[in-house]
Amino acid sequence: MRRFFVTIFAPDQKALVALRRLDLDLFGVTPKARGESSAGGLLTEEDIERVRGSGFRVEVHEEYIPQGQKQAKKSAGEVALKDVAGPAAEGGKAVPPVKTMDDKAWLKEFNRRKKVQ
Amino acid sequence: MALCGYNGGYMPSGGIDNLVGGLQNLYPDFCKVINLKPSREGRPVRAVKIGKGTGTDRRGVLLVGGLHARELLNPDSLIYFAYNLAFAYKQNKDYSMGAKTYTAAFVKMLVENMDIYILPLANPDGREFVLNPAGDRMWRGNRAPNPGKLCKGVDLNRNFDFLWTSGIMTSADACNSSQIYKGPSAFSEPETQNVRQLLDTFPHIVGMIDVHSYSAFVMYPWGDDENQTTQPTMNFKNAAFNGQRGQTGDTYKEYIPKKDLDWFVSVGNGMAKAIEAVRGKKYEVKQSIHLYATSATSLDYGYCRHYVNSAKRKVLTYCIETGPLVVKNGVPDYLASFQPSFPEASCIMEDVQPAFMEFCVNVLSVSGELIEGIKQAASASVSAVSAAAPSRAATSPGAARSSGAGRRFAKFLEDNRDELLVLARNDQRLLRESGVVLKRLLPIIQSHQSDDPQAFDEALVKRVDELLGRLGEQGTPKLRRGAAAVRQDLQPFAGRTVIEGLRKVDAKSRRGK
Repeated sequence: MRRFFVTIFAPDQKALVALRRLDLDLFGVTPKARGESSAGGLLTEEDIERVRGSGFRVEVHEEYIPQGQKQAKKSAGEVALKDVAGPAAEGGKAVPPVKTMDDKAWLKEFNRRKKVQ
Repeated sequence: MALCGYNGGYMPSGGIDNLVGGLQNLYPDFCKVINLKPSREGRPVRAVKIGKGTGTDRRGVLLVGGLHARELLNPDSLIYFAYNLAFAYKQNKDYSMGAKTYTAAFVKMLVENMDIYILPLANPDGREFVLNPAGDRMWRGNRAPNPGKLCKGVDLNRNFDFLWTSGIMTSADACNSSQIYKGPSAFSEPETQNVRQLLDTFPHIVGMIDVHSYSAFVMYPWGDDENQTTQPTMNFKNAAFNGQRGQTGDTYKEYIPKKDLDWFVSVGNGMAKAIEAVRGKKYEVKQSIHLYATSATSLDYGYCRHYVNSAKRKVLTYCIETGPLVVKNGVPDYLASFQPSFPEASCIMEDVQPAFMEFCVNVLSVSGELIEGIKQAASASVSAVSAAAPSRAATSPGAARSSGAGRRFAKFLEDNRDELLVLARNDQRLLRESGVVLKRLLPIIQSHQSDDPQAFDEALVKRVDELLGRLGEQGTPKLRRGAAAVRQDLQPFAGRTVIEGLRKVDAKSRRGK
């Protein structure tokens, strides 16, 4: 199931509320631009079609591919992805893993900075 | 410790748990670890209480982070807060973040008069899945198996017992891609049970912040519908309104007492102002529904407990959405908004620290009332200043001089708030006297807007003068200077309304030039 970062546009805030009834992974609202209200989200191809079918404009940014998960081979059902998501969605690459640090290193750094203070 | 810009990394769940334990090891006299139920996958979940001493009027606050797994920076932020607070208290040092500083005396006042419970990572399984290279950086829930289904996870912030059955912006389908599955029942998950357990076990907890990302908001209840303050029967418990909640702009609105709403807005603004003081980042204060409608969240659950069962104390709750939406080349970068690079995340962590401090001091018994009194007196004084010199205030450079007394008083209260609180807190007589004087001053200052403005009597003026004198004696040179300046202005107010007094001081000041 491929997922894409998207921005969904609606004429006003009330329409965005209606959008949230569609069972989607939606984020906070984004600043109003060109008179439209919008919200971010992480949507499947099916979601995108559903949202567009409900009358919303959807801007697809890039495919989200969890790290470690190789890009799935396109199945027969996914051939038409470009038509659904647009050219921006093509060629997505897996996001890199999150940079981490352990607690010992954190504490060492905390103490170092406290001494400097 | 300035952290902003630090090129470190997010901490795995085990590291956060070690640091929770480390607080008790390092500071056993005022940090105590609280063991909670392990997570679904058996990871330890622990909170820490920071607080020294006991007392019948002691109040507690609870700070929760990491309910949503992908919002990575908040558990680290709460750990950072806990270590900074504990360090500052132990070393008797100021607690500084960017341009914002709380004095050592202020830190001492908090730690010795209240209990600060911190649950930095409520959902360790989710975090591990996000950090695991074979996992999913955009994972939101916990890792609960869902019987009979291959997909895992419950959205913990849709699993609390507040309108859980309403279906407002929740999903009943565990395998839906929306990631807002509310679970098989309210509090089905050990991770949400842990939050409830903390509130039940420590009934003196009267304030809670649940920290999320992103949007740069400070949000207060309710999340299910717009607020209203006039119809108490129109509320979440009233089944007659079932099916009408979750929409804005319609007739149903959720009842909230005006006093609570005023408190949420006022304290929320104070938190946002404190955040801005660090490095200028603006957070917007708003009702939760204006992010989007929700049900079954910690925010509303914490606040609704008292209304469901009046034997439980009221918990005043906020949800802070840390960090802004990140936009790169005109395109929103949602992944970076949830998980900023660590140098940026470290700055956001620093930004929000004073919001926690402000929240604590406002919840702290009596101090909260004093803060409110100080805020109101300062604001009423500024309003009276405009009324005293309306035309010149808008046009003349002399306006500032003409309204000098009122402005000096407002500035004195605002600039010295923290020190006034500490002084009052350490001296019960001073605390009582400050409360009484503010209570008598306020209606007189505020009455300038009425048809029948009240006058200050001589005894009250004398009492204010004596109080300022005592505060000046005990305070820092800055406080002493401010108090002395205000005392010089006091005498003309005896027998006069605030407007008459301000004009008299103004005239006296002009004659002196």
